[in-house]
Amino acid sequence: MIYSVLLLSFFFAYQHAHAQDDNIVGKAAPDFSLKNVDGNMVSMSDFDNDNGIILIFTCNHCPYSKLYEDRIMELDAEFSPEGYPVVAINPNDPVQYPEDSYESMIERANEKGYTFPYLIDETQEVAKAYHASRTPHVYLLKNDGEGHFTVAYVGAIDDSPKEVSDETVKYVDVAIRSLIANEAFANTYTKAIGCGIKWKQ
Amino acid sequence: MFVVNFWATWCRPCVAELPYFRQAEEKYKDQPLVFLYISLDFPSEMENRILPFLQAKEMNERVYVLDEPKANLFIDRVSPEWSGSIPATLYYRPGEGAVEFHEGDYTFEALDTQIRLLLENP
Repeated sequence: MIYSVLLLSFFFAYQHAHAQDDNIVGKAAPDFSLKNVDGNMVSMSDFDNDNGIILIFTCNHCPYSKLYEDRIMELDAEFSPEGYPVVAINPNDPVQYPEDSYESMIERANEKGYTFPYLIDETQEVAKAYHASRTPHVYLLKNDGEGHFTVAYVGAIDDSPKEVSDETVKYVDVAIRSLIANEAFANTYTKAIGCGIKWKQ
Repeated sequence: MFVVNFWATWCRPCVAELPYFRQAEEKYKDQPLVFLYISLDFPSEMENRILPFLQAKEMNERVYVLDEPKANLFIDRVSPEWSGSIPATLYYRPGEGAVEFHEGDYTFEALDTQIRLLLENP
């Protein structure tokens, strides 16, 4: 058997990153109105009095979502009091992935004591509008006032899926703190490994 | 040409399409193709997860584990089109660079068609 642990940095030709579909930083945040695990509809307008929204496409089954689950809960605990609550959206097709069914979402939210909405994107139209491609996938929205939200950050929660250390770069934390301080920040768009969104066939 | 498949043992669609790559390897064994399988499993999972998986699947192919937790550093270098989701497959010709990139899984037919297309258009 041929296998080895290898950093394949020599292998890849460097190319300049060009604009990607999901790089909607600076653009108006697409609206949403989706069903929460408590049976109620949750819409962007419900957050008109907040400073922003930490919108996270995530699900039950994906191992990367599971790795980030506690961190997602911590984001809500830390930033909801500052006017940036988490809103989680499950974009996956429950036919292919029953673990991501609405019933399973209710179970998970109750089991873990989610303090934030966990919405089901049944038609997958919201995921498409945001050009989301994986779970987890974060869109930090800023409230500009009068019901207008702008996308301030797109990408990963931090740069270290496996575990958090002192060296971990916490992209979302930095972004929110910068927004609160009315300062610019460098990492407005990042990428991460994740499970592809399970699109309906 | 290198056919570089990015996968992980924990990724269901990745595991589902591995047999198609192995089928293609067999079908095109007389062609100048090298299939590489790059796992995004954590290197710490080598003994308890990766090796048992490879042994169970009798994978004798070239499997590598990508030992770089800062994915934001390498994703664009594989392809600027890649959002980071797996499975994903890169087609690379030494001297030329990346010639094709596909994010998402393949049926055998789609993979076969893609390879044939690239072989016929050097």
